[in-house]
Amino acid sequence: MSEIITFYGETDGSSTTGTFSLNSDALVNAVSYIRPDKGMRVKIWASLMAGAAVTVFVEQTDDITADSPTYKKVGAFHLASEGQLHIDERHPVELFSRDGKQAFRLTWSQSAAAKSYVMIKVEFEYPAE
Amino acid sequence: MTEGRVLDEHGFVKEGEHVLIVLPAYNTILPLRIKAIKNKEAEWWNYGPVPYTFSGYNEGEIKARSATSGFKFKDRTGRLTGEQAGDMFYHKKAEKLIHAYIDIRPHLFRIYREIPTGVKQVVYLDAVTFTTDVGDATADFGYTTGVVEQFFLPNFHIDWYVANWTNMDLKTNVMIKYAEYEVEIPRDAETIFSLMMRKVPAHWYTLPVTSKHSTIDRMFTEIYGFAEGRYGIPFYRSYEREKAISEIPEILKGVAI
Repeated sequence: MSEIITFYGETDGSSTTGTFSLNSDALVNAVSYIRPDKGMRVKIWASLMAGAAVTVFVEQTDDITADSPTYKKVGAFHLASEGQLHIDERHPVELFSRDGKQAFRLTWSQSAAAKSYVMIKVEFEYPAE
Repeated sequence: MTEGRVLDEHGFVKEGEHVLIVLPAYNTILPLRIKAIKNKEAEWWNYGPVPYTFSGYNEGEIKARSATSGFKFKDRTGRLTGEQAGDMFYHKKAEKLIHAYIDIRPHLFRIYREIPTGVKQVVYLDAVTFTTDVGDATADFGYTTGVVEQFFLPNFHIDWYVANWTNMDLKTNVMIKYAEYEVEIPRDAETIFSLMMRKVPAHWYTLPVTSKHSTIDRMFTEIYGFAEGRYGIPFYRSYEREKAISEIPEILKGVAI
């Protein structure tokens, strides 16, 4: 039995790059990365992007417990110009937590700093369910 | 297909059908026949947040990378008294059986149980007992996820633990789908043996109890009325029909329902 949680984040409007702070109705506090339980499979199913042009990257680290975790890009969404873009993913970004230390985050890149907004639907699934 | 005949569309045992509670620690079964469902077509209990509060959090908020201590589903109606005030599933009535599917959302948690309270029953190969310590390998087993089916038998409490291995402080909701059965113990030895041999369909449920406990002993003797030292019907072998037919009436002599 899986769970889909919708996360929301926005750029700060003053930096051309940065890491989204992600929040949700299911969360008490926003987080800067998401660390699933060991063995969980994560699928990022869809996204809604709005506001100024922005590229949103999905970045994953193999060890969030490291002093300075190293992230690699594993997915991207691109809003080419000001407006709104709704992406229904036929092929979601899939991530897997092998030993519980894996985590992912969303970062942004803009040619000119401005407010942009992102919403993603993330499915969490324990493998045996 | 057996389950389809025995269970209704909600997963509850139909009136007239049987449930066999298997107790591994005792190598026995407790056969019960469902006489009535007291809440037919009214099976939801919209419970609300997990009834546990971490320091500095609101009730039901499960702290990141943390596990609750053991908790019970306390009564929120304000109408239950005594031990039932702290555990709405606790009862001491032989003729009652509560069958529940407990859905703790979001489905991101490891869910552990102590049956009865204070007893961690899952011990791998009699050597390693599970813990609920987030980050520790001893907490990597002994749990379930998703919706938990649970029968609430009389005379003992069950403690629940919710462990959140993610880095997110999560808000929770508990939806309970339950049936309050009126039950009786079938008296016919042939029927019981046939149930045990799976010749008569029934809903089999293993209460994950691998070590005996005095509260469960007393459930049999004080609540159901089995003789001292009798903790249900022995798990007869397929070739022990004659033995079963002769012994079962004596075992059931004096049971309350």
